[in-house]
Amino acid sequence: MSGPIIRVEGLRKSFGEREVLRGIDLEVASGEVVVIIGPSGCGKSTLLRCLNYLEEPTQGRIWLRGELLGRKERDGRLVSRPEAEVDRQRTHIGMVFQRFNLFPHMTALGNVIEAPRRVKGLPHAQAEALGLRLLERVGLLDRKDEYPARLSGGQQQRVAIARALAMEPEVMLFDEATSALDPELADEVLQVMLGLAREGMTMLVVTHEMGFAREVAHRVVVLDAGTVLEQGPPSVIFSQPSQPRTREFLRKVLHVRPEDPR
Amino acid sequence: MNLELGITLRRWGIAAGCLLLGLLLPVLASGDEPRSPPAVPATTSGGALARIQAAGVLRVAIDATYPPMEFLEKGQPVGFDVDLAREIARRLGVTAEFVVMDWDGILAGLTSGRYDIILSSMNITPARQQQVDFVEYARMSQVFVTTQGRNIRTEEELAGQRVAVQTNTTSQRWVQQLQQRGVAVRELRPFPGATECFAAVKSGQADVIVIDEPVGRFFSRRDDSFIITGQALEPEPIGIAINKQDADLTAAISQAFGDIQRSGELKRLSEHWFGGELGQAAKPQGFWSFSSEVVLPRVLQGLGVTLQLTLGSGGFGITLGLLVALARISRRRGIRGVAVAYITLFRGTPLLLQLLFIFFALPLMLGVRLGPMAAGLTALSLNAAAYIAEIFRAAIESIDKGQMEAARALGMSHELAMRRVILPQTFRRLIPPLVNELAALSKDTSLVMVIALPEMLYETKQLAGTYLRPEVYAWAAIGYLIIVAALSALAQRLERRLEARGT
Repeated sequence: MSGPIIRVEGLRKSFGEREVLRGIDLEVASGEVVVIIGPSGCGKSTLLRCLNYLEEPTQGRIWLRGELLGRKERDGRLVSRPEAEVDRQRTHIGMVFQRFNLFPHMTALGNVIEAPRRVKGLPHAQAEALGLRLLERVGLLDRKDEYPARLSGGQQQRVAIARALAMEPEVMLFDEATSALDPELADEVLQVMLGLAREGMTMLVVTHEMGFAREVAHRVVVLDAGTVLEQGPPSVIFSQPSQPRTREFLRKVLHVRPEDPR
Repeated sequence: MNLELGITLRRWGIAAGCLLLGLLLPVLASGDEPRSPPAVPATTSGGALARIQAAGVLRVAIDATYPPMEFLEKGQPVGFDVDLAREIARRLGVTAEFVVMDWDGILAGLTSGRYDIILSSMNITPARQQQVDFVEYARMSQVFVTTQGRNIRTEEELAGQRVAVQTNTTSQRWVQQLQQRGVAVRELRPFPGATECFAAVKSGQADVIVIDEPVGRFFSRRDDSFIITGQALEPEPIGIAINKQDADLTAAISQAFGDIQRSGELKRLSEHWFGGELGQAAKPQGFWSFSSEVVLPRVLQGLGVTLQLTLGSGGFGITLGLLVALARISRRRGIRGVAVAYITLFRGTPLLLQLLFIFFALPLMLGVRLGPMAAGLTALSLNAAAYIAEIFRAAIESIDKGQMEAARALGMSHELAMRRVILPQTFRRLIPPLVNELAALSKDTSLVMVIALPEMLYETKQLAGTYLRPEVYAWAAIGYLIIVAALSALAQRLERRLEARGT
């Protein structure tokens, strides 16, 4: 398979006067795990939200497997795609949120099979088989009939991952998926994410879990003030960052001083 | 429980709203008012008589609070005017059909074509003659009626008294002229019906009534606590009111009346209705037997109408309210504007005004003539929808933004997410404010009495007036309490079921 699965070019996003993303270029290869780190407010979440068009970019282009996201070219000019097409494009990108956002009026299984049933039109039996398989994969088959209110935070987040996987996306976006969880609950979610990465899922992960980044990421992207400060394999970024601001950030989150470059 | 809206939410906005109304109005319009023949524009020239004879029905408006001229007995219109109308109809070769109206709206109903004539002891006055034509059929004087132990014989003795009259009557005008001439009436109290005047004096809310003589005599015979103490005015003419453009009808009625007079039929009617044997003190009945024999059958009938109005307008109001709420939070400015305008209009004006407008003004402005039930349902539904729309909007906006984002991220369209994810979560928080709204609505239905729709309070009021027994209002109170209690019980069960689910 040739070419990156996601390509971002000159991405800018402003909220009113405030420019949050100031020209981002990024490529993600199929099967790659990219961890995005950076101080709070640097635009990490906004970047992810632009990637599945929950936020519309102010400028710049995003390609998903060569197809322009949210826009299309007509007579040499860029125009917005009809909403239905954007909805279809979104089905290729799964997203997991910091606050889980499970549908509280549906059971765990109901949450997982809702989109395959209603969006893809999968027959009930088929959707249910898929749902059960995914719940088993995140270790929650025995909780399939529980409503979210009766699940722990970690369990809820695992259901949310299963829900996103049910659309069989090509890319998964994780937006601080463990920040709202206690360490031990965070760990069970991280284990699921680790498993996904091992199976070759393409992932973009915004996180403060530096252990996960070090262990799982193929590449770490450091964002600062809406631009890519630097990027590279975790071994380089964590031990020999080239930018002083990266060192500054890592020192704060790791509470240790990374080895000084010579 | 899932809400399956059988509509495509994307196109809800104006189109759906208009469609719903468009569907609703003709259905309602044809759904009731079995009494009226197929709608014929009132202005069809040259042929009111032909039209009536083709339909076989003469529609006669009466204000049925005026015994012995016109009143209801066991729910049926009876009285001198009623018999006279039947005689006239017979001579025109048709049957008379009675439309019971509130006195205040009775002229407007004629000019907007709801019926053919008014035969309801209407005084012929210059002001009214500018609007309609009259065929004079009697002369009537006014009397003072008060309770035993008082003595008010002359105009001057009205000074210092609280005087009850029926609104928009010659009596009221006459007392006002007295006041202008310097008679210091303590207070002039106009009531919508004659029966309220008597009830007012009986309960001490007024001291004396000025009213048409036959009516005063009827009540003083029926209840011997009333006495006639004086007489006012020279006798004044009363007439049958007919629309000016229906000159052929006026001529035919004038001729028919002459016939009735010459044949001695009129004299027979007068003797029957004014002769004395009528309205002789009915044997006083105890509260319980009176309630079970007379009151409850009619209050229950009224309760049926009240329930119909409450459930009907509640159902339409919730449906329309949801559409308006969705339009109100639409991403399109134009659609939002329409919703805001709708809510502003219907929350910003009194329900009573909307009711009167739909019943009386629409026929003249748009040619849309709704029967009392249709007009009542329409006004109540449109009004309730404005309030319910805001209830829906508040509930929708109270759902966490993350829910919509999660649904959209899965590839769901906005409308699918709204239908499957957002709206079902609003159910439980909707129940308390919706029950509140429906409880208010069930009591607002009593306003339709102004267009003479016989709901529970209207029926009770008629009974209280005709029999001069205001204690029957207690039954209506119990009726409303039952409706609201049933609503709350239903809501509680629903809430408990949703609670078990966890949302």
